[in-house]
Amino acid sequence: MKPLARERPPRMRTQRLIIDKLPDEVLVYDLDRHKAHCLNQTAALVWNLCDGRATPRDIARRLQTELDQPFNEDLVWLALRQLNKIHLLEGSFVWPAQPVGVSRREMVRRMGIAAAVSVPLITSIVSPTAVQALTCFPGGHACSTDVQCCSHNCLGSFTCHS
Amino acid sequence: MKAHRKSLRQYENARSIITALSGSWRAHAAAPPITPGELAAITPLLIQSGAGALLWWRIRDDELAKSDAGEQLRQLYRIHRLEASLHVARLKRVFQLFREAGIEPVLVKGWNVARLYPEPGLRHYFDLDLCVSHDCYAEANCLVASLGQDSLNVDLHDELDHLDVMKWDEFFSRSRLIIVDDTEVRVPCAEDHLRILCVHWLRHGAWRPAGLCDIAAALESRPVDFDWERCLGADPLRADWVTCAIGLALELLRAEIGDQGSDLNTRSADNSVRLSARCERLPRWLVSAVLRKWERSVSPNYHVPLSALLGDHGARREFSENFLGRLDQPVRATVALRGRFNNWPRLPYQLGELFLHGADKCQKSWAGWFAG
Repeated sequence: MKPLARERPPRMRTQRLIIDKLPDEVLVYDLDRHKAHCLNQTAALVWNLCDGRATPRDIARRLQTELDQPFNEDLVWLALRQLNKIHLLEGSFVWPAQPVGVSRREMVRRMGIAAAVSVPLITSIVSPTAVQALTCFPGGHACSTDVQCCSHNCLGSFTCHS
Repeated sequence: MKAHRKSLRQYENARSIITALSGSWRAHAAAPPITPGELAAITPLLIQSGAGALLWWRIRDDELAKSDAGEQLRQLYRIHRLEASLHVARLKRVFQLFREAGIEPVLVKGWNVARLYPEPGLRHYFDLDLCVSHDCYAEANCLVASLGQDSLNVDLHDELDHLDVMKWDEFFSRSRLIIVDDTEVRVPCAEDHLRILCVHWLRHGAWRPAGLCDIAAALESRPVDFDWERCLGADPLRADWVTCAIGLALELLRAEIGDQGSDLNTRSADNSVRLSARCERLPRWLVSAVLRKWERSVSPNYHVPLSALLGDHGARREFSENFLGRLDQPVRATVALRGRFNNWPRLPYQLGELFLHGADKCQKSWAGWFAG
């Protein structure tokens, strides 16, 4: 049995987040940290079941029933670790002193190619380089037209108004 | 298209962009017949010009999606999806704020055109273009300032500003309300909006392929009672610009004007026929000028100030490139000087626009020095 710290089950964070559910992944934007994340289906499933009452073991059982496939508790821990790292769990969830579960790499190795459920994976969404060219110039930046500036005001000295 | 074959041969990237974006605004858009090499070549161009997510939409179920370029486009789509959600939250907040102050804004471009695409995030936009009556403009400006960081995402217009020449009262009376979750958002009628999109795209030099996709999307999603006469407006010159922009959407992106029932009344049918005829005879230089812009997809607004280059002897080449880049804006120059899109040479317009732009900059500089 996994050591559950003070029996305080994980709770999904819902405040100050923009959540967009796509058919095969869930996109999350953290309004406090201004970071965007992409949760694969497995990570999203675990996150959705973090209601503050279900323990990781309960979550694994529920997913096993829902998916009608074996769902290892280690997968839940792996997802929780990642969710916690990017602040998608409420702060009250207390982690055990001893590390639990296995690494993602180890999990992939154990599950092998025959795994029915994919390993939970959360990736950060980063702008492709070219997108950065689209952003507007801040105050003080050199400019030649108003539309270049975030303030829409390119001053006579060819700098953006702040 | 025959007349433009030579131009298409000349501009390889632009040709691939056309293939990639044709029909991309539709709900069911098959993967484009482009090679992985062509995809890699046009991906940065489309990302820069804001049409990257549209390309993802077309390749998402294809092998091309698994390439590096495909992965970049997917990332971009994810970002745009989230940005779209953020914009909607801002949009609702701004409309509520304005209404509490008794101001009724009209939202143009941006969200209002993004909603015509099959999914959120496919059409990227930066800000909310809000038009308010002149009487409320000062107060609306204060409200925008009170939004803090979100104020950067609101582009407030004093009535229609440079967007259109139509009288505000008439424009407002034709606008309509759309419900977004629990908030009513006021937008222009389909006719006024299509005209604004066309002129705006030309005014900015027609450099963004996504802008032409907007026109195509607005054209194909127009309501059954769409009134062409109302769309083309009272100004014959502006009507001609609109027709040319629509002609480019038909010619380059294979948009379909179809029969949406707009030909039910005779006057509208006449306009429809005139429109089709005009689209058939676009000026020779126009398609070539647009393809030239798409080939490099560089915004005409993003130049290093020439004054910054003048003092540097090592920057002569950069200076000349910049100068030529500013000069090579036949579409923008024609609109800026209220010219007709005919087969006459564009150079007088281009020189004229350059002169006016320079004069405007000088005026701003002097104003800045005196103020400073």
